[in-house]
Amino acid sequence: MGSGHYHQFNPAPPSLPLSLPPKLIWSPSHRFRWSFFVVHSIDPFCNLDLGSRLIVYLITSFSMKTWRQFIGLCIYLLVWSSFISSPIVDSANSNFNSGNERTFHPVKKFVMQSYFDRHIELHDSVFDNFISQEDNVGLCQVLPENHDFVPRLSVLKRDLIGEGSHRHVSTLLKFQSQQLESSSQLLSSSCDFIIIERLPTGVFADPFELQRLVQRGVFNDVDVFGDTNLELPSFLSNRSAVEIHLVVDPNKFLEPTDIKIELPLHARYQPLNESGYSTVELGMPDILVRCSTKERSENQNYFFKLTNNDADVMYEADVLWRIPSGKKAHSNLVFVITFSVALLSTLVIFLSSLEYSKSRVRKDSKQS
Amino acid sequence: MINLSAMRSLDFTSLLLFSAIFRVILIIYGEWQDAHMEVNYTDVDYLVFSDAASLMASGDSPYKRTTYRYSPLLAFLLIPNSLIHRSWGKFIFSASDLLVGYFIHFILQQRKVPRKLCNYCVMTWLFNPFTFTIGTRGNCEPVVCAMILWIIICLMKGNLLQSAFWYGLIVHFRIYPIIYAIPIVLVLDPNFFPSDRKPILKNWTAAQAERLNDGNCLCSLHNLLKCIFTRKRLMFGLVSAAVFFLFTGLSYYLYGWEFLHEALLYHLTRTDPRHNFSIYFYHIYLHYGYDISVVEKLISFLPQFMVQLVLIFCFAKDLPFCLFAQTVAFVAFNKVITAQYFVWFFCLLPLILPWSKMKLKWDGMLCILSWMGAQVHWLMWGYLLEFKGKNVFLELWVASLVFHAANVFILTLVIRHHRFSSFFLGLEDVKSKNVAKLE
Repeated sequence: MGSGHYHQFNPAPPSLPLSLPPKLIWSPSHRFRWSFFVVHSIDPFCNLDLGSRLIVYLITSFSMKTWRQFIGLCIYLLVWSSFISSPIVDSANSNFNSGNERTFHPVKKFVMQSYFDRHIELHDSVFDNFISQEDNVGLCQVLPENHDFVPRLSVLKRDLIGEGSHRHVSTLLKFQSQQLESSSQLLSSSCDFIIIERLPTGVFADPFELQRLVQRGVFNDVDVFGDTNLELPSFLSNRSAVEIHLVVDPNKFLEPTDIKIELPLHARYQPLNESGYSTVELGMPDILVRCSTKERSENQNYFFKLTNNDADVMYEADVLWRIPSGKKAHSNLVFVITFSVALLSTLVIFLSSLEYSKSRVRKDSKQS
Repeated sequence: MINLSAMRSLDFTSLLLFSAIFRVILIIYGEWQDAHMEVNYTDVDYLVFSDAASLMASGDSPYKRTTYRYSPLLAFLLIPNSLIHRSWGKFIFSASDLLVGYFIHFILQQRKVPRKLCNYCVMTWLFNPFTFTIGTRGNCEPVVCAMILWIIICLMKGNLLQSAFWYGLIVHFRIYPIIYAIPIVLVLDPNFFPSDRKPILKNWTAAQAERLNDGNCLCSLHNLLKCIFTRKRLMFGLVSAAVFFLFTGLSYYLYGWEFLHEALLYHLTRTDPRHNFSIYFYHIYLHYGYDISVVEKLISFLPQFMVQLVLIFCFAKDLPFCLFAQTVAFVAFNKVITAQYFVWFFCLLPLILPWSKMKLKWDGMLCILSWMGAQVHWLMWGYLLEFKGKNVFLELWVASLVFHAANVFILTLVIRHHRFSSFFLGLEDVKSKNVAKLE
């Protein structure tokens, strides 16, 4: 790194900048060494990729002439690094490191965001297509060679808890215990369970309520996509989808373990129905697992989908929600009586006000 | 339980202080309940205001927050929510609440209502469970009530410009005070507001009847048509319209079509099929999505329109009573009724109580019990529908008809027991009073 040059030009060892006289002009090699120091000290804050590192080296080497400029640059870089949001940098980094030869799609934090970037409405067939195309979801990551962490689902149970228009849909996932060949690999990774609930038009999720759950630590992250209008009845609204992120420590899978997710949902006003109730069916959620392992201080992400074609997984999944709805037969009766009552009460108020005024006139004429 | 002699010696300041402390305790309790219990004390609307205010603080449009349907002024008022503390808004609203109490006391004092009666009337506002929960839960209605009472005070003092300014502002803030336009313009009669001096208030008397000078309401309509374009009326109309368009225009300039749609047009064309106290809700739900014919629109608008007109022309001279009766009728005949609308007439109720012949036993109790009973009945069916999931739409609709009937019944009872008392003294009244004094 030019240490030979360094010894030639500057006999003093590179100590902290503060000890250098203010006006010292640095040699190019000295500058290069210090720029290296700068970049590696901010690396933990903002995971610079190779391109950014090169740029920083070049800037610092060629522009730093005095140590004052050096301090200024350090401060600037530290402030800049605190503004970089990690998901974007993370994904860029992970893509860069995956050694992927196909054209890479920037991995978005939320899978559903990619879907709604391309489509306006949620349709089941289109969504199934979308999910199965691996590169949409980021399944293009090459699975590391010695991964053997695939959680095995034994039971998937769905339930609707509560009564009335505000209920919780609970998903219970039971996993069998894992057997590992290399436990050291498992300990250093963390897994993100991504549960995608595609909601029918009859129900909706309140994004603000879900944000409060995130604040309370129930989920790691949640977002609602699609039609998030909280007020329209169901026949005037489109479908929405909820994506829940849950970070799970993979060490838990060494033993049989459960994960329970409860999602609060609210019923919309249903279209009119002769029987007075309309039934809404909640389908199976899509569950994706995104694990990242840290090997040689570089992040690696890989996705896989928990399959629901397994014969030995037990499914209890019929979630039917009966929501009261208006009866068309009432239509005429309600119309007639409502407006009759309105007109009648208008008449009552009319008569009482006029009678009151007349009685005042009568009283006054009696007195005078 | 209440020590009557102690009540008599309570002066207004201690009442106000006690109410203030009580509201502060409620706000603190609300914060605790939000943090520790499933059901929030804070109203959902307050969270909407806070979110919109923080969006505004960061330079965005507050209308990016869904269901924010108010003037940007409200978000502006709540900006310190994100800077100081999230309960800033609740303190502002509770302070307006107390201000309403102060204004009521001031108005009644100006009209020479005896102190004991005055204090009882103020207590019907300060200790009304509806009012103290609404401010401490974070609802913005106390601000609206405070502005309306301030408009009445400005009219009392003869500050027309100021009352016009606040009137324009409040119509921008909340559309419903537009119904007060006609009675206020009617009261700006040259008889009451002569050009040379301030208006004189008619004081409270224990006497039973009042001399009627210029005939019944039909005669005043004749007067109105004769001299509608007086200087003071024109000034009031123009200034309030100008203020309204200024604030609306400024908000439109800042936030565009979104503001117009969410804050104004939504309220005018609102048809919410979700269940509420209104008699129209089931009809709207059954016909939602279908085109509404012009005839139907007319039929739904006509009762409201006619009731407002008849109340205005019969009671305009007794301004507080007219405003009260109009507000009760407006809420009862509206397409959507939510609990926060009740505060609109609760703030005017203490202003008319001293002139009511109704005694607490048993007419007063009958009114209170029938109103509360009809409400509880409705809430019971609403609970069955929303929290138990039973189809009780028809029963809920009948409950809303019963509630409407209770409102109309109470209004007619209040009208019948009211002692008409003109708000201002007309010129002839002043002359005859002076003549009487000389004699």
